Amino acid sequence: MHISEGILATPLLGGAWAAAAAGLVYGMRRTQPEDMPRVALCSAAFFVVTFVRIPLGPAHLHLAATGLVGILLGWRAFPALLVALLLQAVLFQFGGLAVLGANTVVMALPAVGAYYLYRRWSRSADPRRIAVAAGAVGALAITGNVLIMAAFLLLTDRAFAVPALGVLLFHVPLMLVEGVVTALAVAFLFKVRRDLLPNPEGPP
Amino acid sequence: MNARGRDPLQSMDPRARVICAAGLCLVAALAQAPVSVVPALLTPLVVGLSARFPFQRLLWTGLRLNGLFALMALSTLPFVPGPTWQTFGPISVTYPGLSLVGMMVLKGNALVLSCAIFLSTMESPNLGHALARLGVPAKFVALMMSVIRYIDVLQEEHGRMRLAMRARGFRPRLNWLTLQTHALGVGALFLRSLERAERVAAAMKCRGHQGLYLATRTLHWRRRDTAWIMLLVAVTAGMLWLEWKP
Repeated sequence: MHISEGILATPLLGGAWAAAAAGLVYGMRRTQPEDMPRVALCSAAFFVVTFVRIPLGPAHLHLAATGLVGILLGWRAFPALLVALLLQAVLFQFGGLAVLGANTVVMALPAVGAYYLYRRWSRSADPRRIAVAAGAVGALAITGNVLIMAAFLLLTDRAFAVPALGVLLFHVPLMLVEGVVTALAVAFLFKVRRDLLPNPEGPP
Repeated sequence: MNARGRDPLQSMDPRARVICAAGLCLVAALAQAPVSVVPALLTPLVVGLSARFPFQRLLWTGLRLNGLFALMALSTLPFVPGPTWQTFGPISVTYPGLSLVGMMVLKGNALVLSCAIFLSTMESPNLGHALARLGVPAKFVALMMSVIRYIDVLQEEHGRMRLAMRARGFRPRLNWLTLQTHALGVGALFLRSLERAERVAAAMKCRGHQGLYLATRTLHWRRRDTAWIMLLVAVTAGMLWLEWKP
């Protein structure tokens, strides 16, 4: 899930780059040397997971896992996702350099939101409630990704209303799939190593 | 370490490549008239042809990108107001609409080509070294280098998991079992990643690691790298001239 090169208006590309850079600096400030492997491995895991395909009729859905990355990294999702998207642009020409800022904002802003929502909703020791909270957060994160993407299209030109609507509708199945995947994945992590998930009582 | 043959791309300093790719992308992104995108589109094309870049590798990328543009054009053209160019039944295509779609296609292809020709032909660790020497903060470069390293590790890990799934007769379909299997696969992949991160962090701490890497490769800036930058300056000047000529 990314915006292709050439579509967005120049001022928007610049503004998104500025926002992504701000998020990157803030996220890097919150990354201590001992956190680096965690951020790097989550970034690499995101990179790998985006290649998982679920067949849907004639097309495929690609998992995005932005909710999960957000839950695990918080603000550090900005550097993690920016690096993963940069490598996807360089290695596979998915997205590109000019639109990298916009794609980072599309992916990372809802991921940070997912972190705070998950902390708020996960104050429970009941695995089922954790799963429901994570599922809602995962679905909302994708919804956020898609809404920002559609907003970028509309801000570029009103005539992009139909593609923007298409993007929204096309991703409805992914919202559901991501919800289920995030719920089950977080429930699994909660069962085996709950100390790896953020502690809702601890400092953010 | 650095393979430097006669190939103009392979013999290019990684720093010059990053500057050329970023510069061409900036030029293409800033251009506001279709004609001023042309230099940014032609430069990577000519460089790629002269370096015998395997363009068939970009076939799928090009089809995907321009297929998307075709879809965007079909769903956008009827809705752009302005003076009419031509009418197809109930749909009238306007000049502003044509310019919107034309810019999208030119810019998209120019940007993707610049990145593909100058950056995708380079080993990704070299990209890290180039960025570090161009003044990108060392912490960010360290993160990028780790990600490059771990993508390989995790892809192998994921490959083993997929093989194990296939050995047990798993075929992905759109059903609950597929979803559940993928979800647990994602969970397991992240669990292994997080546990590996703990081990790596502990091992690095033991060795007094400060979170940065020492650059191990030496890069050599040559005269021809300066020539590349001159080419970039010329392209930029061309774009500016096309943009503002009377």
